[in-house]
Amino acid sequence: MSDWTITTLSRAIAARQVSPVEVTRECLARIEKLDPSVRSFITVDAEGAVAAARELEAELAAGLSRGPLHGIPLAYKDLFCVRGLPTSCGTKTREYFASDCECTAVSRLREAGAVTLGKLNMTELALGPFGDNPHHGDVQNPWKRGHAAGGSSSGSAAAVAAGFVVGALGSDTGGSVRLPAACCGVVGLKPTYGRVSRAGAMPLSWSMDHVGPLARTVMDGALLLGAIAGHDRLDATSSRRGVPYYERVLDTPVEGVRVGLPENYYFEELDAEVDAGVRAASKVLADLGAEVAPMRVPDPLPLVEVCNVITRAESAAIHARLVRERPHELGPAVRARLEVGLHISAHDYLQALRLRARYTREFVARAFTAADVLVVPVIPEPAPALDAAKAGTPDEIVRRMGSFSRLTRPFNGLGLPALAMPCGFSRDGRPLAFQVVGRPFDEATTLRLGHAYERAAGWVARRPALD
Amino acid sequence: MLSFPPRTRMSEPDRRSPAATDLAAAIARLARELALAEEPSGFVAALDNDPDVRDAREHSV
Repeated sequence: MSDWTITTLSRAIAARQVSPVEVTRECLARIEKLDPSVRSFITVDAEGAVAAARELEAELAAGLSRGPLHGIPLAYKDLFCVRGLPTSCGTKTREYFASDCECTAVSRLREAGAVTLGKLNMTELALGPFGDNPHHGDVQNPWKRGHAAGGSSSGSAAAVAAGFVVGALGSDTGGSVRLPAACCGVVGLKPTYGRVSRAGAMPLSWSMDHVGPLARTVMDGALLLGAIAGHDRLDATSSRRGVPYYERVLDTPVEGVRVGLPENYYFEELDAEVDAGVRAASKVLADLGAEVAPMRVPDPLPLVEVCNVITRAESAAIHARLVRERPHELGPAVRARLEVGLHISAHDYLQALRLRARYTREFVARAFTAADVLVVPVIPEPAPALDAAKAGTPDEIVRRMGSFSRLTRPFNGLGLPALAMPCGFSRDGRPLAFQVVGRPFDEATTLRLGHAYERAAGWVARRPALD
Repeated sequence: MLSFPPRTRMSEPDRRSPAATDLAAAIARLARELALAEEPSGFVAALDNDPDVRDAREHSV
């Protein structure tokens, strides 16, 4: 099971080499055996998963196929409403978030034939980049125990890396899909703001929240994105733009694609191995025919400050009742972050929203005149030790959180599509990663670059040793 | 005639944390040169108006 990808498993199911029930049972057995030491799941729905797999198997026996996701085992971050299962959002409260309807992205995957194995662990309220959780256990990095899985979609990335599922959904408000993907050596995509509906997902910050897939390969990420993207009447911010058949454009050669390597901000104060890994990835892209060139982008620091104001104000508004009435239930750093938001004025919040509009317009106009995509690091250092990440006062931890997410947060503010993917390993075996950032709604080109790199580099063949 | 207690404010600025004060100072500095016409919806417009992303290969949903 740990060697399957969505693509290979889909072919095997279609060819009747393996059945959805067999696949589901194998995943459940692997989760039962190995997840106690990874802590990637909050809820495992064994009964529901087997029942769904049986129905899908019967459809296949009757000659019906729903497509490439038919019988594919997936799981979802525990902030997406899934029919019949509780949604804790990583809090102490088992059913913290309720929605009138199931999460649209989950429903679309179910309609496409996916089997839901359960709900995945996450940072409390999605507020933190390390994947620790005081209520459900710290998610362990499958590549190196005792080290952060990244957050906040920690369980999503760890479950994919550990081979418990072949794909997962996460949410990304400041890097929460891409940071865990980078720490765990898997692919994670934050689509363009508006590309994927957020209906039925716990909001953390309406202006910054994105829903995105995590998977082993770029092709798998493309298949998942194709299933969940597109307008949804339940989310007024979802775009009415058409959705490409992403998987069909991945093999288009990347020759002539202009890749910008920002000299300012993104390569400053980086771990040496991360720096070398990302630069080596850009060299591979150049060898594939892409036109790689250094460039300067508008300074992201003001944008990061603007993002902080917006996110803090919105998250405090959304979770005000919890932080005011039951603050003792929250971890100290999460509580500290929320409490700041209670003290942001409406004036500052509105000015921040206006500034964001200006910065986005300027960035798109300037950065994408010289380049079609940008290549930058995801994490400033390989996954840190959990003990070190959690040490210190709440203020120190909050500062550490901000530093660890400083390379992902700007693209939430800008709303641009950003693909995180592996580009090697540190000397002690922790994954390295880079982001491919595209024009608005041009996920296709970011995925195409990523797919070309992945095939040339070959990192995808490596697996963490769990058994 | 309506009267309000002088210290009642929705955003509780009188008990601001240092972090909130820092953020407010940053916004005040950055917003100095904002054009009067700038409004929040300009963000979505900036994403939707990029002329270089074509929909030729796209299918409708």
